[in-house]
Amino acid sequence: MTGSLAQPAAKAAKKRFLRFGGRETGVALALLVMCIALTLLNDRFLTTNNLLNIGRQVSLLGIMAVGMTFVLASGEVDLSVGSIYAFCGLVTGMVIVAGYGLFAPLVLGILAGIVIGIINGLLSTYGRLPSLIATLGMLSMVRGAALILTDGRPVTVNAKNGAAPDVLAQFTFLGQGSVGGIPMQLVFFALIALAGWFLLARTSFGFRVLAVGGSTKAARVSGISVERVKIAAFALMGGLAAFAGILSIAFLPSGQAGRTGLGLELDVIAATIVGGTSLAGGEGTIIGTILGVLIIGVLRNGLVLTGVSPFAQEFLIGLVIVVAVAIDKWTIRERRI
Amino acid sequence: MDRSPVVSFQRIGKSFPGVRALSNVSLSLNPGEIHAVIGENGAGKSTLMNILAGVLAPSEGTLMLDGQPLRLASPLDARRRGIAVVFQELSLCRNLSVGENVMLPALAEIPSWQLIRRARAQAQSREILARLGMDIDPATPLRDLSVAQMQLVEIARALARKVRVLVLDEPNSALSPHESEHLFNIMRQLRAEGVAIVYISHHLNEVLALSDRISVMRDGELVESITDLTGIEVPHLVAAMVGRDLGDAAPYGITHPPRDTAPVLSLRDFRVPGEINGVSLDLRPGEILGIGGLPGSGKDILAEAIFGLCPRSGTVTIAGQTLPAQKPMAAIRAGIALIPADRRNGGALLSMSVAQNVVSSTLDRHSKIGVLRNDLIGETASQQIRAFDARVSGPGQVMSTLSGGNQQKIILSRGIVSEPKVLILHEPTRGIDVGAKAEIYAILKRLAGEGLAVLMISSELPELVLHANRVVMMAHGMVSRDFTGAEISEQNLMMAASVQPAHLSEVEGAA
Amino acid sequence: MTPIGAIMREGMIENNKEGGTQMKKLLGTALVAGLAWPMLAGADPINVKDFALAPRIAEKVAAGEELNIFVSYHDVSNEFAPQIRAGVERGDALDKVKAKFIGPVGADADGQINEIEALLDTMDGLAISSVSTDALAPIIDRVVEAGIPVITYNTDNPDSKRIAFAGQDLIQSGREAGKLMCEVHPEGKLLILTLDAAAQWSLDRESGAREAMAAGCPAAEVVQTVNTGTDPQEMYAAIENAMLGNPEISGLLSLECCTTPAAGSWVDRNGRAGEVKIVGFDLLDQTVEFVENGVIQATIDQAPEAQGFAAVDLLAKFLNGETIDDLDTGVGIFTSANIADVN
Repeated sequence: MTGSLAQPAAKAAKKRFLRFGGRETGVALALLVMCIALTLLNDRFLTTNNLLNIGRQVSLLGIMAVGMTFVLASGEVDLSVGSIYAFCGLVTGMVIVAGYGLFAPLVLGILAGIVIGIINGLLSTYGRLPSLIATLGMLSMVRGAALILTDGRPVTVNAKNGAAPDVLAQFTFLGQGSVGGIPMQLVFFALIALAGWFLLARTSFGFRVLAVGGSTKAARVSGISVERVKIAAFALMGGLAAFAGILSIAFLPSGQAGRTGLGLELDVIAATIVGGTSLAGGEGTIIGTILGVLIIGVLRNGLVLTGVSPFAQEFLIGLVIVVAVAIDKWTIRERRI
Repeated sequence: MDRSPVVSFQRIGKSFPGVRALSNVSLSLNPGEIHAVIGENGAGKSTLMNILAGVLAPSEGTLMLDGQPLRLASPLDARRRGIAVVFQELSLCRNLSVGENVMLPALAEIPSWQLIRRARAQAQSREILARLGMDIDPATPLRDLSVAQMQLVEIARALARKVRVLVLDEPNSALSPHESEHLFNIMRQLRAEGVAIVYISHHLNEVLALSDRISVMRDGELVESITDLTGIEVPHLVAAMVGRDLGDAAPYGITHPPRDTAPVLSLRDFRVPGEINGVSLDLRPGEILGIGGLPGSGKDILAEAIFGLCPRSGTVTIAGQTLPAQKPMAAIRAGIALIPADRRNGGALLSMSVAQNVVSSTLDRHSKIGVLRNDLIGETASQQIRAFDARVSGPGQVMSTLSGGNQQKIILSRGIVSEPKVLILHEPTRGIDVGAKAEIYAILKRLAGEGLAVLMISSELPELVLHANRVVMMAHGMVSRDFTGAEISEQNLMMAASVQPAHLSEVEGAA
Repeated sequence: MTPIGAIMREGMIENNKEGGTQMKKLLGTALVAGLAWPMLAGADPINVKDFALAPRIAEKVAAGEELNIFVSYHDVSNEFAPQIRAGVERGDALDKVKAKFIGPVGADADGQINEIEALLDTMDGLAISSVSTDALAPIIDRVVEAGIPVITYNTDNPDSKRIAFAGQDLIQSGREAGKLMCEVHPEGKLLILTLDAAAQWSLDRESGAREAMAAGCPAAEVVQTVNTGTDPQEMYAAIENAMLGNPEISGLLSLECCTTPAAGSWVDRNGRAGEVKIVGFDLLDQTVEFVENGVIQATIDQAPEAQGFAAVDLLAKFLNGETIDDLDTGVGIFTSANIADVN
């Protein structure tokens, strides 16, 4: 008798700790309200074409936000992602144009991102610099490196500059192609988000990231190497920023070191935080991050569709970031009391 | 000299939710008198002083100032009325200069739009520092000072304004004997100037040497107020603090394991820079070894240093194998589990679930090629919740929503899941209610019975007396004495804790 | 090194100040068409005799020593900087001239000012291009008061005491773009694209373009100015969103280098080439390709290399006693008819 009663209860309890209950519902609700409002305001919003466009437009931001979720959840921050995005994209483009095929430039670009991430991690852990400072320095250094490398000239990946036609076709497919009507960028975002969710929610690495961000001391007492976990989070971030940068130059086959990805780090951090990841560390979900990225994307799209002036758009985007995070914080405080 | 009290507490009581911290305490503080307040940790001294400082408001009774009822609105209010409290924890700004620190309360009261007259503030601070015998340039950055000097700066700050009542809470815990003597001279000088001084200390010899009156507190009550100190000696004070009924209680139900069992944990010449100056210890399977000592004795860094959270030297062997320094994972692998003192800021992963807390030190076992085995995690967690009788709604409950006792059980279970040979607990029952305390002692007893070696570091003497079968007292970074069986009494432990450093080296030399 | 026969339009005169170029990918290389309009707020012709030249500089000139000329650009990390720098380097090769290209990374008025202040004692002449007229005018005046001649190039600063300007008139280049737009898109709705709608250069070009279109093709209607931001992805997304929001758009007028190829990409990828007309600026690789393919109807080149050279050249001449005046480096207009002349 008691056994049959206890069984389902135990199961339910077991199930419950897998999910962080209801953390994202607020953000999801906000997104839903925005979508409904835009559908009513503009008949072009809710079309397959427009929705796919939004998906593609947020993909690169989203790929980086997945990485940022890990960094923020581990209690650190990475301001250098916009520069990594530019540097690695441009490096890859230059190497492709120089005729080294496709695979080698891609690997090189992503490795460069991972290495920069590891440097960020080393500085912020063993180097004992606050990551805000370390990555602020790297923001400037990496962009400077990109400027030195390109001499400030735009890098354009096209046949005229020396890219082999087959390589060019494959490379541009990564950025511009589509599979079954879904743009490749969106496909990559979806795959990376899925992998990121699995990594954060289902693996011991994700567990360690959240533990380290929640309490460094408690993580150490649990025998977790705080330094290694943080360095790994930075490396993941660097690799993803590099990949996004590469997709960027594959999409619009041109980039410029002074302009590409300028200020992108703040968009990435904003989207991640809107998605409920805590700047203080220890909390964050990939589902929340995806919702945060979509809020930013839908907002930008919707403001243009409804013809809001460009200056007012800036204002409204800022307002939404503040309101979204404020609502999240206020409701959490209530939940805790 | 006018001998009518400056401040008197009249039937003061203070309750917190679920706890009665003070009841019916009546005390008078007279001008030109050093009044020592002694008692064990948790006896109510801090609560009483917080009421005097305006930090807490009494639940019952009245505080009188110059015979008039006094209602303090804030610490600032108390300070304005000439009541200065120097707490044990330093509250100085390391980024400011010595002079600015001394004058900080005065400077903080200047409206923001007014200019600070630096030269005058400097001159004033120099004067105050000189009064304390500190020949130090007020412009020196505070961070360049030793802890002892900082403690004096803290006192100088209290003197920066007119003081009628000065409370010093363990003022010399970081001072050398020579520095302490200097401080005592300052206290005598202030007494001569008519200040009412409250002196809180665990160092009973000093209390006897210095005080005009001694009040002893126990369990939130004033048990004795001694005005005539002739013939009073340390054992009398200890007895009053501990309470006769507990004093002679023998450790119950714990049989000491045979001395010839091979130790599972050995420390040899164990040192932590500035904290521990060479400690050697052996811990045997099935033993609960208690470690006690006053603040500053080195006991509070011991647990983390053994586990590898801070730099140390000397050798640590566990089951015959030498443990590398500063490698917590190696310590866990070798069989050490640590239950740190501070749950909120060190023990618990507060934002994570109970299940996640249970398995956080055994992730390798609970994952397969890096992927968490959630079924296994759930199983382990449910099992541990049952084994420790933790009152939680389920493995998914967020840790921060649990009571202190239940959090501690979950942290204990984390340690047990890693299948340790040695369990190190630091202040295992701090901030836990009585019922949960008893459960935790029972768990420890059971674990020791199963052959686990338990190292219990505690500031609570009753805890050591009743629940350890051997106790090592530390003082001044060294072992003061080792007690077993009937020797373990609060009086003995307290005497060993307050031993003078000179005597201590003799003991060491003899051993 | 091939001379370019840029399209000659009414009122243009040949401007053959430039001789050639060392760089392969220089834009609007050898010959650039100039426009002979009276410069608005232009400076009067000036000779060094009418200028309170610092004695130390006068001595250097008399002794025939090498003159230090600094060319400060408002953002040395943008796409034009390498070309302007190439022009400055060409100027550096002039006799008795040592020309140096300086400026902040990222448009930063403070950085630009600080650098000039630091170099004040070593400079014998300064050429400056500034994003913010108000912010830079005081430092220009200070340099002039120190007896050092200052000219502006690329972007003028008419409120300052600079002695001459070498470059393209921004309002005028906007007018040119507007006229071109009228030619290719006489009626229908259009969008104006800019990566920084609030910048002075953008406001100038926009007002010139709107003025020219109001006069030349009143049937064309500007629906919106789209502020795209500077990142390529952001730009493309902004254009994409704007086109979705306004499906009836048949013309895109880009005000600078960078939204021009982005607009081309969108039109090309959505199969609307020829249907949506594009007029833009500059000669980025992609822009050249799109002009060749007929996706972009016309683009205006501002000959940055020529501006960099002219800045040095003008100062050297002035110091050596020649009377100088504002110099129009002109605009080059490229369509599918003459785009092959690039490179």
